Amino acid sequence: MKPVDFRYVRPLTAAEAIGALAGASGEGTIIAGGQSLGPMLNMRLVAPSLIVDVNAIPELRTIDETGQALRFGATVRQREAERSALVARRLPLMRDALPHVGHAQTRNRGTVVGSIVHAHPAAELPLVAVCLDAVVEIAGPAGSREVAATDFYRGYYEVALSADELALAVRFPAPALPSGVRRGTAFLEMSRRESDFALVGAAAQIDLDVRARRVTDVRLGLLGVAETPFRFRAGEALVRAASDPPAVFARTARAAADAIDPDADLHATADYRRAVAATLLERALHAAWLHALVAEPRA
Amino acid sequence: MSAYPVAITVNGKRVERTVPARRSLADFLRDDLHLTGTHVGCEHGICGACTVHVNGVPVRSCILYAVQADGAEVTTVEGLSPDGTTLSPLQDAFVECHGLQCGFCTPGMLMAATALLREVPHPTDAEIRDELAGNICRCTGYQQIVEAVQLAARAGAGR
Repeated sequence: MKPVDFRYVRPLTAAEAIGALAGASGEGTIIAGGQSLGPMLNMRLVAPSLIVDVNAIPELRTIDETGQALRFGATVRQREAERSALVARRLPLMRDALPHVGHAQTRNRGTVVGSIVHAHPAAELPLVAVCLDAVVEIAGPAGSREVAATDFYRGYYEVALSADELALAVRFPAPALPSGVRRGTAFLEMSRRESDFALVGAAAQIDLDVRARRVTDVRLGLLGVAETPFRFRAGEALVRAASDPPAVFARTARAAADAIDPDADLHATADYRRAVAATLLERALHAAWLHALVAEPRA
Repeated sequence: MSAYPVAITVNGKRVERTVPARRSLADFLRDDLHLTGTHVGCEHGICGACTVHVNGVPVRSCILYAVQADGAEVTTVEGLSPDGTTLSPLQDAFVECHGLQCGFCTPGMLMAATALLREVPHPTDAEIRDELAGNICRCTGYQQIVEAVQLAARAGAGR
């Protein structure tokens, strides 16, 4: 299992990287962590003529707080985000999702942005991006543009990024919570073996005004149930409108099972995936609720 | 074939070679440097047998290309023993606890567990299992491997 021969460049600026891609007439590809691209190269599922390694570009290496958001440069490792106090405080849903991504050793190389751009249907970080209304910052020969994560996913491994463009960063809104509001999060998944690709996963984030016992914001999503990450907006509305939120968690989970149309494969039938989705979402809702009740108030 | 010069420090020694871009770091270590302790199993980042340290961090050397490691410091299983003849405390513990049978996965297990102990000198069983979840063993059933890491931790391997 060896890749087809390719040319390799390691530019020092984003502009050089984009220039190199432009010179490859659509046959170039970016490598950041390489934890998905490497296997695909080795198995010859892809055979680019040029690989542009963006790991030496300094401005892509950092997690930056920009006003009301956290911005992840293209080469920020998943492991770095997993250990970041800033991420734990501002983006607890991402913090909960990261230990499920690959293995510890692949997280040491794999990047947050790379996972979001690779768009595996069972990947965790694309779901987090869609649930938290992240924005993908893209640069290409025609200049820069931004795409909301909710518009970014088009299908299996298919995103709104063309072959001559580079995803520079992904920005996650992370505004301070209003006073008295606490955030609870949970990210659960089910896989055949520890650390394998998930059959199904569920994400829940609940912002709770503890004194009023009122939900001020809720984000719900499922992975592995569609070609693209599934944000369950109807369920979010159900929970937000409920006077006693935990009383509607079971109904919300059942509604999610009805709303999805998962594929069947070697590992699980569609019905099984639907049942697991409902079970995980209900558990995630309860876990996020309890977490919100006991969570430290966050700045 | 597109070839590129690389300078990589392997187990403390700087080596310079010219490599094809598509050569994995694992193949570079085994075929160019004859360091055959790093094992190549699945060749797509799943089995963990090829785990080495790059700049102190455990990674899969089958899905990292040698050209990408230009300028890096790499440690392989051959670099665990201070003098190349004795064993490290973790390796001793693997012997003591029967943490291996055929030995194919062992280099990867050792590199992953060495990094864990450096970071968490006294890990729980759950932490060990979590860290080694990316290393597949077909012989031991894993229990003795966890015991070996615990024994090494008690012997102070993580200090």
